[in-house]
Amino acid sequence: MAKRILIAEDDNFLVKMYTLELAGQGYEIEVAKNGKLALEAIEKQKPDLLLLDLLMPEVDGFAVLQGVKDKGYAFPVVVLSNLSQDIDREKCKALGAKDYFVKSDMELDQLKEIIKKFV
Amino acid sequence: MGQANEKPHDPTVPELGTELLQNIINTIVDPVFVKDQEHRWIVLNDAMCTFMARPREALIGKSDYDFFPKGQADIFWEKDALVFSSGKENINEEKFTDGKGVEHTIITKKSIFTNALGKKILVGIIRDITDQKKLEQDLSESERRLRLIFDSAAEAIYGIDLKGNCTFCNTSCLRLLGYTLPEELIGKNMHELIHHSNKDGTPYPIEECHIFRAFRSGENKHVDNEVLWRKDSTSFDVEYWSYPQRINGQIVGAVVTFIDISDRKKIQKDLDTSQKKFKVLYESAADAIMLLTPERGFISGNPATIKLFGCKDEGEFISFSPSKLSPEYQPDGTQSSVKSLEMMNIALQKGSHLFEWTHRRMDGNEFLATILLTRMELEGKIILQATVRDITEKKQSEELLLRLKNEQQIILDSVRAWIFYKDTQNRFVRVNKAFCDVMQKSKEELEDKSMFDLFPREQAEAYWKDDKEVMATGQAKLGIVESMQSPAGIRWVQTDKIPYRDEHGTIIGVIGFTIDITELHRTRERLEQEAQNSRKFLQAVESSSIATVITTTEPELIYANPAWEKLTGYTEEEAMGQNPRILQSGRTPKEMYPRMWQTILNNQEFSTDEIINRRKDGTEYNAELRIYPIAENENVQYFVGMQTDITLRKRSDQAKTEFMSLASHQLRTPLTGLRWGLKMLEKKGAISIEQESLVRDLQAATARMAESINVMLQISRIESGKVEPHWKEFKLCEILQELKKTLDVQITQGELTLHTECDHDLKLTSDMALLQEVIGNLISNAVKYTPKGGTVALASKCIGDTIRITVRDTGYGIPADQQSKIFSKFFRATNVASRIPDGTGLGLYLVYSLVGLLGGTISFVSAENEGSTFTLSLPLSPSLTPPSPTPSHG
Repeated sequence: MAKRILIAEDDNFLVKMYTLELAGQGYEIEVAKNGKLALEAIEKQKPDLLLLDLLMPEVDGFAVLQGVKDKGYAFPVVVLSNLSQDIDREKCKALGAKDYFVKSDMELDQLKEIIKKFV
Repeated sequence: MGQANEKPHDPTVPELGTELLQNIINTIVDPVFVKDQEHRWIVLNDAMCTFMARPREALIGKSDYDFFPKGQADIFWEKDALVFSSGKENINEEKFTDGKGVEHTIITKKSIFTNALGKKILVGIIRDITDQKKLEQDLSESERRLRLIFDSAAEAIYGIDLKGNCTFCNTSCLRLLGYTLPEELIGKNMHELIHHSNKDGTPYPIEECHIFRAFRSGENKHVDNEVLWRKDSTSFDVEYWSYPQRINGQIVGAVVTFIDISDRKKIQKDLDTSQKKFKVLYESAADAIMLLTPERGFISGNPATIKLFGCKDEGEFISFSPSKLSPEYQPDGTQSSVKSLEMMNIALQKGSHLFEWTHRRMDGNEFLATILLTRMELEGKIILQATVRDITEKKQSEELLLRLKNEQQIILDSVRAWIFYKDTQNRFVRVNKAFCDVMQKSKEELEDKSMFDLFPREQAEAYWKDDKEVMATGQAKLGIVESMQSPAGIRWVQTDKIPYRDEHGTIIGVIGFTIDITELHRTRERLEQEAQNSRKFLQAVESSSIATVITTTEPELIYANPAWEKLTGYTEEEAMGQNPRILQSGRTPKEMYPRMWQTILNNQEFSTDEIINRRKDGTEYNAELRIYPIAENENVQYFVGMQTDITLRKRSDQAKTEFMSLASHQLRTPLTGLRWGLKMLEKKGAISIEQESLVRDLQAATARMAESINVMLQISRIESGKVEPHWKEFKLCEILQELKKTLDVQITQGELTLHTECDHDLKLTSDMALLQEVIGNLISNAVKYTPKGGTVALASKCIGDTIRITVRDTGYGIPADQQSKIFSKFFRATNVASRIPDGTGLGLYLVYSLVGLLGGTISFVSAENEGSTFTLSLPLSPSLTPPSPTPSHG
């Protein structure tokens, strides 16, 4: 059974990049355009990995992390954000994020390695 | 007188017994003679012999013609003949001059007898009434005179009978009583008419009248305290004498004489008063007053005299001679007895004489006195009056005064103020040394001089005017400031003038205290100038919009300007004495305070814009604070603190920062997509070579954009205070190794030579990432602005507690006129902007900000086209004293 990866990202172009990069890798990809939709998707079916953006409309990534933590879900969450401050990084770690990457500092091909690490 | 009988032995006489007869007539005191018809004396008694001053033998048988001048003898003979012829007795008064030439008045009684022989004989008895006659004549003369007096006398005289009725009166009596004719008084009762009432108008009963009582007592009465009443019912003081009049021992009336004594009474009254006064004066005088003469010594002494000499009473005093009440010798060596006479004689000659005299009291004590001897006349005699004043105490106090005066003078002379005493005539009586010094004159030259002798007229008049005012009002005049022309030039002086009084409080001049305030005056002028400046300054501070306070080093607020009051909401009054801590909100970064204190207590200025203060009403504001220490002799005494409310600026800074952060973030996302897309294109290789080149250019552009965004984000984070260093110890070379990796490409591309020199073991405590960014920026800058073939050198060195890292290049350098702006945001030097267009102007600003965060400093030296050397100094550990973050260059 293919591993389920939930990607929470509001920027369409980046979503396209992710999907292009992961195409043909055997993952089941689901995309949520904001935090609210992400939480709904999680409720419907728990992913094996959540790739989470932080700055999103309606419900942001911090709230999603809080929700996951509150529900006691065990699936790993990796933050992929353009917020580069330590304070954000630490906050996410505290809310249970397994890892934190600044998108503008990372290369796209790093994505596969990151996923492999947690799935 | 009869002539001597021719027959001296007449037979008749023997018949009668001649001898017997002779004896009988000799017993008759009056001269008796018997003449015969021939006028011859035939018998004479002894008295007749005495009367004729001849012996009987020389007279018998002789006649009047034998002894008296013919004229005289004729008169006697004629009388004898008349008696003989008529036979009648004859008494006759006759005058004759005796043998001694004395005229006598005699009464002769001649009688005719017929003797036994029938012969007629004449017997004569002579009574010498010369004395009686004279008496009568005198009496008559005195009566005449008396009458004259009686009528013309000032004394009034009247007579009364036993009933008191007037029997006579003189003209004075009429006049004094206001009557014109004697008839108005004669027969009237005088008591009822002129003596009826007392002086005060009360009735004066006749029984009590002295005149009438004199009738009973028979004594003369002298009264001078009653009045008599005039016709017009007015009265006058009278002195009267009443003499009872007796006839044959029986009182028949009285003669009253009186005089008007109104004037005398008045004079007497005046006299009494003055006598009384004198007496009182004499008795009660504090001065001993005595009367004396050179011959008799003391005559009298007043009570003060008795007391002065310690005598029992006046009697004892008078019993002593002047020299007895003195020591044997006077202080000048003269014997008192000699000198006292000498002094008295001088007084008698001169009228008065004042001298000092040493006396001796009864108890033997001596005392010094002044004596005033005055010549005067008392009851027609010249005497001396002496006034003796004990001056022992006066002498002593004079000596004391003299000593005090000397002491006073010493004090006066030691005072720097000029002190002078002036009399009412504007003359200096006394001056002190300070005054002499300034006038350049001696005391003697100044004393008795007036202001007009010493100063120009106008000035002297001004001084004199003040003096007169002080003397007239008796009020001191203080703080008179005026100029004075002294020999040393114009002086400014301040004078206090007070009334100069003697011991009785009488103003006898002016005392002046003058202080030379020339220097003070000049200083004051300067001070006034300064005060004016201060006022200007204060005004500036007061009206400044910058909240300004002054504190002590405690620190306590001692001044706050209105802007401060406005900013903080505290009034100056509330703030005084408070610690400025009252404004702390607790949100100012805590590490700021130790840094601040260290700086300002070191007498260095301090400034920060990190302050967040709280107003009285609880609201907060951001403040930029500058503190200027004020030091005296390098000891910091005060701080001047100036706050500027930068809340708005901070807020806009924050807004800007937030905007920048957000904007950067929003830029990053599409840029990430762009970058990833281009990478994907490159990897797929499904494009032409031309397209491939284009993709690489796009990748470089996105990379630069990403870098710029990173720098901007970092700056905004630093500016918003969100960057805090993560201190840890590390080796400096670790950073250099990391940097080399990223720099190698650039170095190679730029065909540059890179020298690095680093002690492998050099360790420091800092934020590794931030320091790496700083050094990385410096090197990449050097690489960027150094043309091909140049050199970039990095060196590090440890000096004490400081690590010094230098980055040197052989690049374009920074134009001198732009060097001061090099660390400002968005600065780009003009000489490189055209050559290398892709600079943001944020690199060095970021470096500068980061160095500050790390507690280090950065400086540089640069010359255009020669290159630049940046020197970074960092503390080995952040706990060590950080060098001032103030940028410096050169």
